[in-house]
Amino acid sequence: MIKLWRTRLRQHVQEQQKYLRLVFNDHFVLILLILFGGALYAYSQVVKTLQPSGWLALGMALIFAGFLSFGQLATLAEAPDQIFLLPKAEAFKVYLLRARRYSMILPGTLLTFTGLAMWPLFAQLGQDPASATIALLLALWLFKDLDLWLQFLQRYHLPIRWHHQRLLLLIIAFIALFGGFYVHPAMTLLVAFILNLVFRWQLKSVLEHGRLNFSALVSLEDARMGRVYRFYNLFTDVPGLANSVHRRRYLDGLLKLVKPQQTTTWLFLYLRGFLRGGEYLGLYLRLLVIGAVIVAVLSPWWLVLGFAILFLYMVGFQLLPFYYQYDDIVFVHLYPVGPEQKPAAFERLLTVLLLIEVLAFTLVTLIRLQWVAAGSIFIGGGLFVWAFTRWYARMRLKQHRVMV
Amino acid sequence: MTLTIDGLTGGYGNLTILKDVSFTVPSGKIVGLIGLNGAGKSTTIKHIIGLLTPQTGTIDLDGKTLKTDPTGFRAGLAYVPETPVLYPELTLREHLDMTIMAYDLDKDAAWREADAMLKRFRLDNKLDWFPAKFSKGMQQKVMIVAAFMTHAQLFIIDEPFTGLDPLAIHDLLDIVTAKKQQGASVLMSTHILATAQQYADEFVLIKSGKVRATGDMASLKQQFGLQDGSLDDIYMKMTEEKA
Repeated sequence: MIKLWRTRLRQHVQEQQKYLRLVFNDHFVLILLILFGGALYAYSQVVKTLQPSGWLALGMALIFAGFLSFGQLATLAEAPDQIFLLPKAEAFKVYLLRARRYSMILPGTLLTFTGLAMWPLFAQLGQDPASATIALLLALWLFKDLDLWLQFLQRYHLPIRWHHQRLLLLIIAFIALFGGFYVHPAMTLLVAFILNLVFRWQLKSVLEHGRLNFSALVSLEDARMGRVYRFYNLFTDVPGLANSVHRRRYLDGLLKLVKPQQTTTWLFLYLRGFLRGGEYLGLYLRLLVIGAVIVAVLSPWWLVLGFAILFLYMVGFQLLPFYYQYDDIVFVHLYPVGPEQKPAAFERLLTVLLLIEVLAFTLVTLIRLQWVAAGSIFIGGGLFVWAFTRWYARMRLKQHRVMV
Repeated sequence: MTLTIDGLTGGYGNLTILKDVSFTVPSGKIVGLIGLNGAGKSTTIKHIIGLLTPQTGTIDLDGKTLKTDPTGFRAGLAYVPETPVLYPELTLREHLDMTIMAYDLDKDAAWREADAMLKRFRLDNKLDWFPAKFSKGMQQKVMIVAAFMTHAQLFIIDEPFTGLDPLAIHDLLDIVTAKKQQGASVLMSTHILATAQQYADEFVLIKSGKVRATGDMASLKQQFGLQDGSLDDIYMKMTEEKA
């Protein structure tokens, strides 16, 4: 089992390295460095102005509770395990213990850095920075350790059933952190230490009666890797990224906009595929929100316009592969529907989606009373959408067709 | 409607699988397409429905071919694949709506027919579910309903019986027989030889990409010299022959 874990871990690390190299490409690293430097500078300025108060403690507790929630138990379990490794269910414990230890590394590192960043803050607030920081660090590690144990137990059928254990732990951690920031982090450490001790004392007897829950093990890991790959997918193409489909009944009103008749066969399909499949809708909304935020904070109108068009391009460009979404389904090749319908339907969907984005950006600038920016986005964005869908998208899709 | 395949040679890219395949599926007849795994049954079907293009030879449906009249050719043909193929984002109702739209069927009439079939297959209470999450047998039923609600005159059914419960197999055969009586032609590939022998009017026996024999039961018995043999015996004899 330990051998299995080692092989899996090696494959996993190789796979992640492949993607991380693509995510952290040169210009992204540069942007991150600049942002990081800027954030550090801003933080050092802000710290000087802070005074001890209940609100500050509340805010810090909230931030650290957030950091605590980051980091899941990575088990690297795969779907076939529940069949092939079924006879090894008992031996799986060793494997999972290794997995838990490995899963501690990333959140442990993150918590160390954020904990250390509190040093100047504690000094500013008039506490002994060394003892406060060390107490905080130990408390954070103990809480994270406990959190990973709870996630470990989620993978077992246990005699006791309790829900939202992790949420409960986070709430306790939040309260303890609040007390810690208000009085002294030693308080937090005390709570974390007692909880951890009590839990470990109980753990052995709980685990003895627990049976491995293979389906939870696999589905939790699937969901976790799904999130990781969706993140990578923002930067690069992840092959075989299957998104779960949701019914999204609340969107049925939008679906009614397309009248079912033969000429709208493709539009009927594309619209449903877009609204119910997670991948492209998520991508569209994410970029729309990020774009709107950027448009909202920038000021000279030409910069706003530039970013608006950049985001229109990014959205449009990333939506292009959706054109091929149904090529694997034999029936789309069999339908007695003219071949010109598919590109026309796709173009219409793309145009509408991009125009919605133009309107959203215009609205954001209007709220900020930037009349020039609003006008330029409305006109410039509209022209860009026209050129992108009528010219660029057509060319790209045609090129692809010739290649295939 | 009559499907005529004449001198079809083809395969995947440069890989030739079918060699000079010729047979017809006359209207009002069920033709069983029989052969071992890998003999070329599915490849033949892929050529007929137009997923593969023949290297040489023609495939025509009452004079229409995919080249001369693609839309007319496709409108006359319905297909039930071996493994169910479904849109992950569409509900059962929307799958049938898609079929109605694509084949330009009359909405009310098509739904009346579909409802009858759905009831028969006990799917009528699952219209708003995603069939992509159904069991294999239920998905197969969805494919059958979608194919048989069209006004196609040629039905191509690839190994329809696996995964279906015995009741559903009977229901499917009833539906196929009804379509046959209305004059439609049916090409059915299957390994369930007893059922094929019972329901098919004619057979096409394929071996290593070539047509080994065609004809009804009586003619096959004669060709293989097995007067009292069943389709099973004939099949076994064919597989034992040297290529």
